[in-house]
Amino acid sequence: MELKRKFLSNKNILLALFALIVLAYPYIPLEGYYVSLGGWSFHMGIINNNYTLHVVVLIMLYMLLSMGLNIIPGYTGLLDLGFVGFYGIGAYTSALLTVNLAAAAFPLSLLGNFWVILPLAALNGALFGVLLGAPTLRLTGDYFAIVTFGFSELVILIVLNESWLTNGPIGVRGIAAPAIGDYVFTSERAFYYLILFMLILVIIFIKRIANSKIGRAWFAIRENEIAAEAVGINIIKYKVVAFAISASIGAVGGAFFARWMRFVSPDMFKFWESVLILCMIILGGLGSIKGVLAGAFIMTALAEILRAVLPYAEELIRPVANVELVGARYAVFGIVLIIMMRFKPEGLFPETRVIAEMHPSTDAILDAQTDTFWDKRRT
Amino acid sequence: MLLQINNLKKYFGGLKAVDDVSFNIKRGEIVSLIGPNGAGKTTLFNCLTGVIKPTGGDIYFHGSGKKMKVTGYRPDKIAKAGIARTFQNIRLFPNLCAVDNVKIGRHAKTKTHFFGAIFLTKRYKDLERQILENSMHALKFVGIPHKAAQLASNLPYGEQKLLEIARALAVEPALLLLDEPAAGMNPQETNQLMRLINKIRETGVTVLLIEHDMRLVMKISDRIIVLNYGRKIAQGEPGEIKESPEVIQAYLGEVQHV
Repeated sequence: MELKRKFLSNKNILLALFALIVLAYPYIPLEGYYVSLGGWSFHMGIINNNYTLHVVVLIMLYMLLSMGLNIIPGYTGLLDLGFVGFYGIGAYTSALLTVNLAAAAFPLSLLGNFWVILPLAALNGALFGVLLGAPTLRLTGDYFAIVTFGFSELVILIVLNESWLTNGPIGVRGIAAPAIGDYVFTSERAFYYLILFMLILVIIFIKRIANSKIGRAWFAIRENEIAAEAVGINIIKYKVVAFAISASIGAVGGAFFARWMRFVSPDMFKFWESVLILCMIILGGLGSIKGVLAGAFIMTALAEILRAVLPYAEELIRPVANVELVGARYAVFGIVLIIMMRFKPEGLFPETRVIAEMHPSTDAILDAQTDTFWDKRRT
Repeated sequence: MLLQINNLKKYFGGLKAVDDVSFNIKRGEIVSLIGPNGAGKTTLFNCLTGVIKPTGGDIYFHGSGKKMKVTGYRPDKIAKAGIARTFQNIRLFPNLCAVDNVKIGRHAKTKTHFFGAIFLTKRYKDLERQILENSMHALKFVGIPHKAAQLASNLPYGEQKLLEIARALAVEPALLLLDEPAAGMNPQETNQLMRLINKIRETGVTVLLIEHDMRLVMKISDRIIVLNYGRKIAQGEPGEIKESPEVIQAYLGEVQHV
């Protein structure tokens, strides 16, 4: 009875339903069904046709990247503007290994295999994370942010100029798609399941790390560095660990991206990408996993919707003003962020800590904490 | 012997904040460090815990049984060696709940289980349960177990001070440094604190405290060390210190003979 109640609670049923929809999503047969709404008729197939699936894969890729970036500003409280550098390193690691080694003789060809590349890219990202982090993590606040910004620019400059290795501004093309045995990932459906699998693994990984001793050390550093040191936490070490983990998740995202797009070029990893990912986690709620996922979803979806809608808007206002609106996507992001900062500065699904910072001494948080506390600990 | 300080000096430019101070602390003692404002007490604490590097002199710590030179160590290494502290202006982790504050105090005493944490092995789960039990025990010890789930920043001032002590005790120190634990407490809370400090000593932890509340200092200290202008001017049992002319002079000023 007790067991039944526990498993059949409304929340669990909803969760199971959600999981089912997520799993079946690319295969729901909607082709040929129409929904009428006030004289307009919508083709239901649009919900999971090839283009929409592509966007959904992109959304999940950004979710994965946001989860990785979130470790730095959300958990350890440092501002990182150079995340895209690690994303680029991962993408180029994957691209170059595939192009150069996939067709090589047996032992070397392993290095061109996607499943070998993923951990290699993660390691390479972590390596650069440590190389950048170890000397610079003594800096605080804005100074650290500037260094990370410089790092991401440096990555692009190196990729642009070392053309013997990276093919310079032309980029690397003809990257083979990932495969399991003889099955090659060619359809968006296959990539949908691949990125879903990777995203779930990353979420579980980060959740568990955040609940462990390492995560507690990060939170301690974020909250008060002097007190953290006084209880025996080696601040630099744990910041470097955070940086390495964040960087390796960025690199894993990049490795997937290269094999999915089958083409990489330096202008895919511009500073703008870092800002975009940072906006996602701020929009969703710094430090909260649910928030970060929601932020990535909203920003990526909004970008695609605007891409489709803005040309129509341009047509509509042409009689009044002859302006180009297609480039106005970024302005819309700016407006969204300004509105957020004004009315909900803590993000959409904030962590309790951030609510407390933005609205000091809310009794609601206190109640929420005491209610859920023992449930959480019991597991 | 637990702590041995030899000729400790800390100069800030021309200002001699701590000037040639030497003293020893025996295991199981409660020692108070007193002196007028600006006498160098907190600077001495900061040298002891590695927050600032002393200009000269040596600090030896015998926490683990053998003599260990800890002068100029990083704060986290000193904490690991067995010296825990609280702060004059409270430094908690304000947006974490009370028990998480104490759990972080267990940091130095727990092994990192990276793979255990990811695969949730039985050993890791046992370890986490142990950390939680130890933390709850520390909260019970200072008398605020019912506040475990509250955010540290939402606790009243006195309880925040107790939480800081609980966090320091979670480090399992051989020596506990308390920087003005009774500041801002009412007489009733001060009495509770006095009982708590005695209880801490009974568990085998040596206590060194800075305090301005003379009633508390005189009642619980085994020994008192008096600093003035960075120099040690007196040391002894509460009775002797009360009578010492140098101490009276430091606190009340020189007697003017007209």
